[in-house]
Amino acid sequence: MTNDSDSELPVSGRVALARLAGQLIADTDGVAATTGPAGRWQTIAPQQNVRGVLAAEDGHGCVDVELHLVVRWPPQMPLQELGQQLRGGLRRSATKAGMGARLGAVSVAFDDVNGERPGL
Amino acid sequence: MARLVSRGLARLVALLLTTSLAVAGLAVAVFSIQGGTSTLSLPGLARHLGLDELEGTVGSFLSELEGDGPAATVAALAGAGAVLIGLLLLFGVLARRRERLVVIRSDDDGTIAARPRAVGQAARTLGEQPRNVLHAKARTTPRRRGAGGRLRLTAYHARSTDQAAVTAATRVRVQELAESLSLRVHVRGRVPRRGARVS
Repeated sequence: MTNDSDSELPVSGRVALARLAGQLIADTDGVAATTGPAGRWQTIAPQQNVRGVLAAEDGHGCVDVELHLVVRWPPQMPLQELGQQLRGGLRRSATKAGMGARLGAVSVAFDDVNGERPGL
Repeated sequence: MARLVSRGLARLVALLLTTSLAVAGLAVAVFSIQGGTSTLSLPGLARHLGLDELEGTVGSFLSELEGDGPAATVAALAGAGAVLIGLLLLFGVLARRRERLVVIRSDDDGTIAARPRAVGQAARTLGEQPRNVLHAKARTTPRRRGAGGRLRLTAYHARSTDQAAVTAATRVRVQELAESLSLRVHVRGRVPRRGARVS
């Protein structure tokens, strides 16, 4: 349960970048976040975990981000292009939020496909 | 490579150890049915195994181990070897298994990759698009290093359908996917076994 005071809680840069990545996935058509079979692919955050995003900070404050996605098949564009678009989008969002210098490598993993056939 | 060897060795040793433990436990249980010096007693088991003769055979070697000499050196080397094998087995049991991904692009900014299962499902969907394909199976193997991998697609078709035509049609369907993921494609056509499910 959250309230207004919870939403004002300060979060680390790592969690803030993970949230940006989570928002980017939610805003991108044709992909959805996945936490994986063991639920490992998520970032633990104060109010709500960020699904499908793994953010790891190194000793220099640089945050590497992994996006784990289910892609709708057929995709609107080649997977490489889609991955590049997501990486570019996250860098732009981070720069806009003043955290561009802290964002390290951004990796995109297409872990599953979701099609019209049952089971896809 | 070391992880594969250690994992295989660990599985083999685990199988051998559990089997021998089970056999030994069964033997002890059976030879505990009777007491004293009867046939199915523990002294009887010791007689069957020839433990008295064994003591006579290795007794002198065990005595040599207690002092300095060649036997002690051999024993020390064997002990060191056992420690190394133990470490290898531990590595095989405890080392984390990480699934390889089909790397699409990798640079300093990060990696774009796809899980083999996802690629296989996509290839299967595409491979089943030709009307003369009843069912398709896909197996994707990522390369150990670098981008791409190998895609093996089996297209099942009716006996009356031309296999070469099915193979060609299926290959055309998956070509674009394979090129975008740098996959080498191997397509083969097969007639389903009689009575096998095709969907």
